[in-house]
Amino acid sequence: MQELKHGSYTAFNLLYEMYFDLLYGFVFGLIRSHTLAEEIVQDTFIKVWLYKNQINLEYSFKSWIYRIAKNQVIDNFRKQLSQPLFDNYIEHCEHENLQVMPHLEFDFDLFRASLASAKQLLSPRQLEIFELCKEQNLSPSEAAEKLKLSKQVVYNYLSQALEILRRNMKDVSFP
Amino acid sequence: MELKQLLEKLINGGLNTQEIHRLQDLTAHLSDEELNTNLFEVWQSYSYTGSRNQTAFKTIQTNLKKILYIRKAVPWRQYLYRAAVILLFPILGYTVYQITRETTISNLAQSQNTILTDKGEKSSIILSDGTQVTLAPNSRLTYPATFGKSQRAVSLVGEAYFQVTTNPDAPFLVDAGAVNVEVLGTSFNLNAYKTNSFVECSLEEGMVKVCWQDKPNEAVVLSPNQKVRFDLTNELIRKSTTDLYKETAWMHNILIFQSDSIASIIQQIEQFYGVDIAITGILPDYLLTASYKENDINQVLKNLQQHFSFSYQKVGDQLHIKFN
Repeated sequence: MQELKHGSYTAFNLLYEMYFDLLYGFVFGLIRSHTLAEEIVQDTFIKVWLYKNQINLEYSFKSWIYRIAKNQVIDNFRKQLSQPLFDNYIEHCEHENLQVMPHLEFDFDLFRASLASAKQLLSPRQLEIFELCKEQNLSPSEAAEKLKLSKQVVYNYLSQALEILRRNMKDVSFP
Repeated sequence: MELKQLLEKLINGGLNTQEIHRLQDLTAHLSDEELNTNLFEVWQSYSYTGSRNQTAFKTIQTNLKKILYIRKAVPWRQYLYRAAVILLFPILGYTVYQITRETTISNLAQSQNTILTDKGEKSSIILSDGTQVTLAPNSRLTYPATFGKSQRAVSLVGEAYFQVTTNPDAPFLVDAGAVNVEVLGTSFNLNAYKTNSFVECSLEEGMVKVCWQDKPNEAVVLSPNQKVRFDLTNELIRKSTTDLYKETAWMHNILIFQSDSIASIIQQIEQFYGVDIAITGILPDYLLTASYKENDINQVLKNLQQHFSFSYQKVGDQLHIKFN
């Protein structure tokens, strides 16, 4: 780390080799998007190099990269957590028993993409109710009121929609 | 369940429906400091035992080399006959996605297409011949509707990075006002802002011929890792070598100052972050060398305050900077 502080690119490369898995695993575990994880890890190491002369040798490198990455990680984490369907994505992973390895292809982006194509199989009513309840977070009674339907009817449509979607999102590749 | 345990469960797997909702609730009401404290604790005890994401590892490693490391100059003869099309850095796709708010494509009366960027914005397009152009902030690229067939001529005001496909039948020409660039399948950066007193062309790969309209007999041919600067005030042409790090830093959202005056720094910050800056007080006589990669202009300003003394304040749409 001292060598890095003095400008050694070899040291930088070595540290990248040593800490990549740790950082990527952590970031992906939280944020569940390969696109974002790649961007954050790359940006972090760019800053590690750009700010290398500010390294405080009293701290470990592990703490140092956390300090650099933390703003981006926290911002993106909050954003992902508040995305509609993120909870459904996590549920889906648990349900399908998908391991959270960083080479897990089925990240949140893929989930939304396969959801988008599975949604095309829904009838207009099913689609409408699915989007109201799951994407806009209306409760079934609120949706029922909005669409002037009975609550039971809404529940029926919703469970039909979920059934069709689950069935069609089952065959997703994972290692 | 406690926040720290929930976070650990999320990262390692095993979070059930109830727990995910609890986590979402907790995080929504937590301050950044509290979230940070918990996250840091999780990080400290975190170890990764799985296998490596090879694609991400290699992609990022290659990008880091390109973005950070000084390239060695290669004999230009190797590039003379090479039809080089460099793949765009993957991250550029993301940063362009993050930063580009609007791309204006309009058709003017004479069947011209125009791409505009505002201050603080970038934009990337692929022309019909496969050439890729990344526009820097505050720039404009114009090309006729007939582009691509028998001729490839574009106009540039501002700055752009070009990756030009090879077509011997239709040489690629860039008209940047005072300067023309003739291209033979190559990657280069052209800086031709109207507000600057110079035009600069930096070559990464391939070969270009740069012509000064006022001095047609003094055209300059560039080899890779060379750049030429046309100073419009004193009409001097200067050729030099470059590793293209500074010239293409804007593409990776890295802001670089190299013995730059305060006036120049302020102008670059305006352009980079898309803010309007009003200055009062006397500018210190100081040349700064520093690099920044920050999305937040406040971070940069705070750091600059360690070099020279000023205060800043947001007033309406403008940023007011007062030097003491």
